[in-house]
Amino acid sequence: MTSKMNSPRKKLDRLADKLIDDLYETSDEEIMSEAKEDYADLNTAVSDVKNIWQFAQQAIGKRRLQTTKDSFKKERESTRKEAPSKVTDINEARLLLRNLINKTDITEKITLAARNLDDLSDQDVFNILKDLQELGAIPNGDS
Amino acid sequence: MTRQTPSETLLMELGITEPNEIDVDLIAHYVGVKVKYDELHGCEARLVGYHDRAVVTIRKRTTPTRQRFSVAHELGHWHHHRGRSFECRVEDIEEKYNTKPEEERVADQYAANLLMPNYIFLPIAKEYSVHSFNSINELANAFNTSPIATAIRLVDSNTIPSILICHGKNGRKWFKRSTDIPRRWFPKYELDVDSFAFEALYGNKDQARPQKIGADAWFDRREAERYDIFEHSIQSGNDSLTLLILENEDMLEG
Repeated sequence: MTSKMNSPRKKLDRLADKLIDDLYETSDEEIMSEAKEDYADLNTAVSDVKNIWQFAQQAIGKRRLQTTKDSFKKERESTRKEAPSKVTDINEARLLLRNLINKTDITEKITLAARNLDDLSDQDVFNILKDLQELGAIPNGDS
Repeated sequence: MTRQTPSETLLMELGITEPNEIDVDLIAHYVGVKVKYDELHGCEARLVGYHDRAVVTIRKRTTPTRQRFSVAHELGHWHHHRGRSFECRVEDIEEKYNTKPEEERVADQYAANLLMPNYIFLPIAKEYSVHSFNSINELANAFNTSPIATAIRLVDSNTIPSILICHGKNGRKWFKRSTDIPRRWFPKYELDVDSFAFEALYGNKDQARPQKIGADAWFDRREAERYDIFEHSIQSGNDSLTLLILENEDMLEG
């Protein structure tokens, strides 16, 4: 069994810690002289390290992008049926929306960037409630 | 070196390096936002969020460029204004350019940085030796953005010392100046009859390319008589849109 202490990730972390400790213990002069030995020109050394760093960042980013694409595709393919709302009366719906926005224990969790509440069409009000239901702010099918 | 904006950090997190990789629906998905395209009445977009997830609804009956901008604008609200309820009216970036509420300007700026991030936009913009509405249209095509939003971005990026000005028949509507241009170069309110913009606005005549013109056609300052600038004016709906390029170093001295 691979214990958590010996997992490849932990081993890498320990190696990184050791390298950083070594770096802190080395004087500036020693670092400069080692860099000169390896590169001759310090500007080349700095630019090489920057390139390696940038390349690594981009590679991680591209991997993240691919994972996002996969999960995005999966979400698009899933045809989850929307739960019907029990609120069918527009006055009730407007009151519910107003209460949700003004309810102090939930207000900070809700973000709403839309037209002014009084200017919203009936359909907009129902659709916003449907979105809030989809997001879990309103229990499914329950007002 | 310019500081990285929140939208640029997000794009870099996803390893995005090319304009055609900026897929706003995909980026929205990454930050927990689902984008829907639906009928909307009286507005372009709406954002509804709860905790760390949100639904953005974009008006179906509009151009893809406008939809992209609306998604990016709502992502700006999601980044900057999470947990708040407020009135949002997405308008074209140039509409009410100088008088928009703070939240809207912040969201517009986020959108511009997301759709045309400096680290991708600047190297491409700098490949052009001369800028005009022709190069702006090419950039707009590459970034899938509107020509006006792209022109604003170009001026904002300070790639060239320039001023973008929009005039309607009742006078100047708005203008945007790059930071290299000293504030004393403030464009006239009324169009000068000698300007090419006058022809664009009243004669429906676009300029094919930028042309040299006396700076006094555009600025009410005595020193303007000493300088020439480049002007490129085109029609934009019922308005004229002008790109002024100020290359004379004396003009750029603060």
